[in-house]
Formats: sequence, C-alpha cells, structure tokens
Amino acid sequence: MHSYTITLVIALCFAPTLVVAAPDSLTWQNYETVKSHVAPKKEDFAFKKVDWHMDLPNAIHEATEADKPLLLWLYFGNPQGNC
Amino acid sequence: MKTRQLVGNDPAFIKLVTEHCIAVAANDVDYSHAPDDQKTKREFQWLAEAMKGANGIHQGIYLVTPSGQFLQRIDGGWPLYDPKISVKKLREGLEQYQTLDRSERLQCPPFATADRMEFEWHNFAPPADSLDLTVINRSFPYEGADKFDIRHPSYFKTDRLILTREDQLALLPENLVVDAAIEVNKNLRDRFLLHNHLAMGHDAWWSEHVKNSEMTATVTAVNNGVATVQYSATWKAKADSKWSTASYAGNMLGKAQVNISSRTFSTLELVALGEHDVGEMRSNMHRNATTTPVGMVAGITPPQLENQPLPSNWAHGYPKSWRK
Repeated sequence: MHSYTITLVIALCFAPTLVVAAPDSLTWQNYETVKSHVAPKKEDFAFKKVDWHMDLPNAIHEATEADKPLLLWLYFGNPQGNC
Repeated sequence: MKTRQLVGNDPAFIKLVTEHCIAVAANDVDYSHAPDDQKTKREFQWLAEAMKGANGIHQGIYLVTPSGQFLQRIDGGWPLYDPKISVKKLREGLEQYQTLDRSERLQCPPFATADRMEFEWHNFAPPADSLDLTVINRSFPYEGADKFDIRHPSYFKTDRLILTREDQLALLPENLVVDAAIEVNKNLRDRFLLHNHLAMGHDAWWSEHVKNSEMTATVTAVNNGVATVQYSATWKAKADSKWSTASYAGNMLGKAQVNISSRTFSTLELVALGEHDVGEMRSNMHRNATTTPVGMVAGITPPQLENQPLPSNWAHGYPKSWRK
C-alpha cells in the first residue's frame, strides 16, 4: 500500500469496526469511541494501491509505452475523494 | 463514493488494474462542461471519441485503448455496484484489447502542450506554510439505513481542509501558558459547517444559516516547550434557501500539540458528532430517514503527497490567489 495511505490511516487512528449507536452528544468520555467509529479502516483506502493518474495525456503516453489499456474512473469531483 | 468503496477497494479489481492497466481518476464534468475553446483541444477530442461507446462523457468506469477506442464499461450492478461484475467486465475488456493489432490499439501521437486542456485546478497551490487536514465523515447506525443511501454507515466521505498560517494562529491563545484560552473567530469555526466537513453529502450552506456557533481553544498543559491545546465547539444551523433546507446540530472536541516558540502544530486532531437533517430527500442519494447521526474525524495530512484530490471547496472556499 502507498506509504501515504499507511501514514494517513495511522494518523486518523486505524481501528476495527465497532458497530456502536451514536451517543447523545460528544464528550471526552466517549471521544475515542466516536473517533474509532468514524476513522477510516485500513481497507477503506485499498484503492490507493492503484497508481491513479490525474493527467490524461500523460496517462495515454504511459499506456502507449507500456502497451496497456487505460482504465478511466470518471466521477463528479474526484473519485478518490470529496465524495 | 460507492464505486470507490464497493469496486475500487475490491482486491481482485485492484490486482487486475495494477497489473494490466494504466489507471486514470478524473472529473467527468471538467470535460463535459468545459468551455468551447477547451473542447477544441486534442485532449478533449480524444476523450469524446473514446467515450462514444458509452454515449458520451459520463460518470462510470471504462476501459479504452491508448488509441482512443472504447472497449468496455466496467462498473455494473447499480445501485449497489458489484465488484464481481466489474472484475468480469474488466477481464473481458483486457481480452478484447489483446485481440486488436498493436498499431490499432496504440496509434496515438504524443500530446503537445497546445493539445492539453487547461483546468483551473491544475494551478491550485496552497502556501508552503499552510496546514493540510484530512477530514473523514461517517454516519452512525440509524433506523432505516439503506445501502443505496450515501449516508449508510458503511460509507465514508473524505475531504481536505487547508488552514492558512493566519488560521493556525487563530486557533491559539496569544500566550501559550496553562489555562490561557481564546474564542476562535466565526469565519474559521463556521468553515467546518459551510464547507460540509461535519456531515455526509454537500449542502448549500450560507453563513446566515449558522444560527449559533462557538469554539474555544484552551491550553491545558505545557511541557518542554510544547503546549497541549484542547478545542471545544458547537454549531446549530438551519438552511432556508431554495437550494437547501438542511439543518445541523452538533459539537466538536479536539486536541493539539504546539511548539511554543514557533507556534506550529505537530499534531492536531478534531472529532465531531452531530445530527444532520438533509431537509429535502434526493431520490438519487437518500432513502427513508431525513435525519442521521454523523461524525467527523480530522487530522494533519501526511506531507509530500502525490495525486491528492483538491478540497471539495477549492473553487469558492479558498483564495483566488492560490490558483496561479
């Protein structure tokens, strides 16, 4: 996995999924529980193992050199985030 | 979000893509809604031609040759994208690719500078002293949760929040001594809500929709030149425009480690929990419940990133000077 992903997941506290009901409000007592539920799990960023190009002409050039097809993932915003 | 989590994270899909494809992640709207002068560029022409097999430039996952020949639409199983369908279609597309003559599948002159489209986001460059936060949102379990719904607890949203040097300083009391406190300014604290960092989805918030907000920063410890700062914030908001009737009520707690002499953050972690009401349910996104409990976790993004998506509010929420 891309080293950034590992660092990000650690930074945001990787934790196994605990299915918990939302507390009535956030307190310092339930802070870690809320954080653990929301924080991404290691598998949530597995897609970053793929080298996603954001420059189409560069990707076309690389695909031509490598004799490989292009996989285009098109989505409103950026498919890797913000959605 | 659903294709990312249901297909993009599938191990078999990832293996096929990394071994056999050159992968591109792009905003279809950047192309389909490009100004006319940009549509004359060869980059646009290449994509428009390649996507004729999909009836135009639309959201989805596709396999095309470097020469611009459409091979396959890859995603399938809508509304719950099925990675098995994607893997099957990808295998079919890869076989199809191999049946083509090399010249047929590879014929594509290199792109000159003049052939490339110009997107405003290409030049988005925050200042070197800005602090980049990665923000994650996820709902808690709620009655009526449906996997069609973007708010289902198995999905999460990721975004970036970039703090200028001025923002960072506005998060700190003037004197970094124990019990020193500051009320964080409204512009900064309301950004969490206005930029949709507190809930799933993207509501059209205006500043006047924020009915009440507070945020304090308090130094709780000082040790070896490092101050520990705790944050506490609340928001209550209700939108009443034709674009949104959403509401939000919630609070945030957080903590940071700050170098006293340089006033720089070595760590910053923020956690929020609130109730989000979408107001008007949208048939392409929501099912059953208008109100959901939702959390946020934000932390400092690791430095030296590659291919980092821009903040969702890059165009309107950050200085124009950041787009050189």
